[in-house]
Amino acid sequence: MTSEAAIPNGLDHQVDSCLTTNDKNSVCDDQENQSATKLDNDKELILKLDNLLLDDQNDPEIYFHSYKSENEMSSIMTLISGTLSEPYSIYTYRYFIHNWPDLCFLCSNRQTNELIGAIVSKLDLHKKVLRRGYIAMLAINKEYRRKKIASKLVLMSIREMIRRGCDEIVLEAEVNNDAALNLYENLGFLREKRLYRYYLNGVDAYRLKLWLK
Amino acid sequence: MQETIGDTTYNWTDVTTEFADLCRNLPVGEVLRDEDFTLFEAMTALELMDPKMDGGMSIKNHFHEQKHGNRTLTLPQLIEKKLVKTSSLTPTELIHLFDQLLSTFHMWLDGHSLALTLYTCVYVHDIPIIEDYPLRTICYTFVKLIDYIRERILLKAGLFEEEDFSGTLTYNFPFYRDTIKDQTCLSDLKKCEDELNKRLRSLKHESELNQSEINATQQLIHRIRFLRLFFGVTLRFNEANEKTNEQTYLNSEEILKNLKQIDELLLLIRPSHVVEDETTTSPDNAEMIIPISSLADIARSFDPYYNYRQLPPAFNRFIRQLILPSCVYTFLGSICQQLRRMLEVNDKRTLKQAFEFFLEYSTNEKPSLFIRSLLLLSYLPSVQGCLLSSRKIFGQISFAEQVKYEMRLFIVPPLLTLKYIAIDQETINYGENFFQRACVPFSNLFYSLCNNRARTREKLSNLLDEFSVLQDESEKLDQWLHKYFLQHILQANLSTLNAQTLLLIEKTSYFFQFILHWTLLIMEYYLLMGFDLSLYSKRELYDVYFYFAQIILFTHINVYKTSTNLLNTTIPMLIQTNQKHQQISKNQTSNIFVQQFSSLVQQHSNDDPLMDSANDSNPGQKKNKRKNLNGLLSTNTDHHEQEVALIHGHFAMSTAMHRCLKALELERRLRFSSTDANYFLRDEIRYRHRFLPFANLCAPPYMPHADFLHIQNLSDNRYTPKELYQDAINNFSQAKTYFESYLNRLTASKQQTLNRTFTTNFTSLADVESYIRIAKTNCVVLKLLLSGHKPEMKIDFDFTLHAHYPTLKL
Repeated sequence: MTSEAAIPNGLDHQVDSCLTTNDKNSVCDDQENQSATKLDNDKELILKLDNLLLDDQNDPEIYFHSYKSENEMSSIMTLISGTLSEPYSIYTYRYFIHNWPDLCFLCSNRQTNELIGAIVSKLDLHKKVLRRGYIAMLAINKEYRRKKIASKLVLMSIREMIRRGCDEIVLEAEVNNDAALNLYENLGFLREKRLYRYYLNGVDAYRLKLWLK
Repeated sequence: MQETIGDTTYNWTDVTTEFADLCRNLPVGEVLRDEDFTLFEAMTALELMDPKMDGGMSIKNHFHEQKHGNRTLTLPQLIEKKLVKTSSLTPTELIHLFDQLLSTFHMWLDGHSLALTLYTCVYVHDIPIIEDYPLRTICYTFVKLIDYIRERILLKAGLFEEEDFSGTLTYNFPFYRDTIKDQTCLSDLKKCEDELNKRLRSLKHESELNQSEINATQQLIHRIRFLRLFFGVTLRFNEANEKTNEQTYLNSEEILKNLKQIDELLLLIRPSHVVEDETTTSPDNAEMIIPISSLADIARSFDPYYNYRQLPPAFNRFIRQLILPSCVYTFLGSICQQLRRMLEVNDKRTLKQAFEFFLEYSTNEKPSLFIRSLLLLSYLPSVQGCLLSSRKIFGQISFAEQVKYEMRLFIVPPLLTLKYIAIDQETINYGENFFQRACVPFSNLFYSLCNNRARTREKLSNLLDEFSVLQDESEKLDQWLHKYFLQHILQANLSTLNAQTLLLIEKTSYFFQFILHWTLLIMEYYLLMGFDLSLYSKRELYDVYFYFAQIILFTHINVYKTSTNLLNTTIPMLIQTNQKHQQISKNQTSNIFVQQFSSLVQQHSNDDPLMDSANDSNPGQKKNKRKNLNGLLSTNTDHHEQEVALIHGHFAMSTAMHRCLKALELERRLRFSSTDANYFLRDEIRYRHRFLPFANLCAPPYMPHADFLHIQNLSDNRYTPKELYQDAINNFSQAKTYFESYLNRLTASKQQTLNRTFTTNFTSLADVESYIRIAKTNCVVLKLLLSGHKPEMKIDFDFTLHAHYPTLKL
């Protein structure tokens, strides 16, 4: 009993063991084509991102901006340490934000100038060959949740990373953090691996990755 | 200002004002740094006086409570100040200390640091000055126990990663290696036990019975006996003969006997429970209540902050309180259970059986690092200076021998089955080279399976690279054998052969098929583990199931067909040839390879496909009734029967899944789409990365994404949703049938030999039962969809019944 009688799977010709190296060559050709179209892909993605960010009607109450000076550091730290479970020293914030200020995006209240949301990320060379973006922290004030602020901040960060030529973007998220997992997965991040007991509280995490190349 | 901590006195100078003044010169946002000390290094810094980060702040509070200033007192200092007792301890005090030490042991096994577990006991830092004999013995034993597990088991197995175990740091703690030996501890414990038994007898003979003292003494005896047995059992694993440094044979019978005794003791031990209120009682006397007042003399015996200054700042997992004894004893009971179950590995006679056991054990028991290490070391005991691949299975069977035997079982290559042929030296070299090289990935396979599950999957992907090299090697060996071996040797010896059989033998790439078979097993397990770890997103399911079914399983079905065909066709001929030449060769096996594993063949002659039956006079006519590896009576055609049923079941399930996923997509019944505006992952890129571990393999051949799409097109895109639904329904029904027939055969076989695990390849009994239910449910839902039920409604995927295949939900 097989299902081949109903609908052929089209694979009958492919079964025998590999005795040629043809397949390996075709992989190489593929890679060459990929680098040629790399730039086009990036431009396309950035265009897509720009459209997305402009399309959304912004809530007049809030405005987005990028990091300007150390004066903002204290409010960033308060916001993030108040929402995330892992403790970070000021040096951790400084490491990311001083080295990659253009990858730190903020969202504030127009009236009060209160900081509502922040994303902290970096872009580095990984193992000397790969340009890897990393989203270190993302936090939104409790009262302003479910307004797509987080998605916008992530999109801004991704756009900047792509503009600078990024091969992949990674981050870690707790296995129970459904809000974060949904947010990123809807953007194309996949769960690359599971990290056993990753957090201080013994909880597992997923390494989420968005492959761009 | 001066400050004394322990034995050292410090002279501090306060520079706060100067520092603050200098800082005023820095503009906003400027930080001072050195060339070698950048912001990256600074991340590990801590903020002084921060209550979470600065260890000194916690200690400060702690010592403030203790009213002893900033000091950690050493044991001699504590004794001098009469803050802790080291002689004439009462049974109750000893019981409490024992239970606390046991709790630290448990927490250490769980991955916590030595500094926060065993060595928070002040006694352990200076055991020789303890006068009390039982206390001294107990302390030494716990130290030796942990030391042995660390050195001989965890470090030798080498399975741990950062997240499992922090035991590589020893903080210069004393392990008393030169002071006392393991065996001495055992005999000392026995002495303690005997003395306490004497004491107990005299207590029972007193005119006025002190019942509480009698109970306490009895409970202490149980604990000491338990510790002696438990330590004894531990010492039996990965024992090394000290003179020769060679592996001693694992005596599982003795271990099982001891485990039984431990179980009995655990029933008798009443875990202690310290209470403030003296009137508290334990429900049904299950626990031994100890009022805190009776522990006054040993109140300072445990100090969680004792080693605090040695820990890195902001150290994770600080332990504020030890786990309660009642939980610890329950945990120990389950360790014994797991050990008992683990010892079943000793009956696994083939690589396949061992593989199935390892898989089943790690899925069902979810073993800790300790048990996983024991499992690996029981199967492949360590030997000084010896690579994993050179180890002997159970310390007895050479790995290369086992691999050859496995090949013989799977596909009966003439090289490994014809007893009375002379093989030239070059062929021997080629062959032996290949078999030795094969040991590396196969032994790594077992190593990989003993890691925690998340790491196992990673390691399996690396293993596939090793197998791809092995695929190349096997092809070379097959080519060599075709050219030189078969033509010259075979024809000379096999004049009775019919042309067809000869052609089959000449056409077959024996070793390639074998390696391909195992490669596919690993690919299948790797893919399914992705489901177990919840790694796949809903948008990937179509590609994953399609790849699984049409590329991996499809190839595997053909491999099984080849193997079954070979076994059926060539076995009678091979037996015949051996018999024919037996007398001429005077029963002297000339085939060196067959000679090597002849003991394995003899030991397991019932399982051997070439079982020489003396009463087999008409090989062509009679059906050869043998028992196959499953202990089931079978006929000639029943090779790999269970495996084939399961693989067809999986094939049908996965095919059904991708057909209905395509149909759902066409009917717009999915909640998502890869063409969403804000979806930034391209299918082609995802395909390449997700299936990267498969890219280097010779077979199944790597397919570029364009070709993959083409095949998917041919397979699914030409049909209407209704046709796809119908085919999915057919496939789910077929799957159900295959799985049910598998179950029937299993339950019909009355023989449940020790060798049987209930996992065939990577599929367990429980899996199959779930798959059947899923197939049934999905058939129902698909029939509704087929009839056009609620066209607007989207479908959800529910993986709660089983991680591998979802039930469709309206």
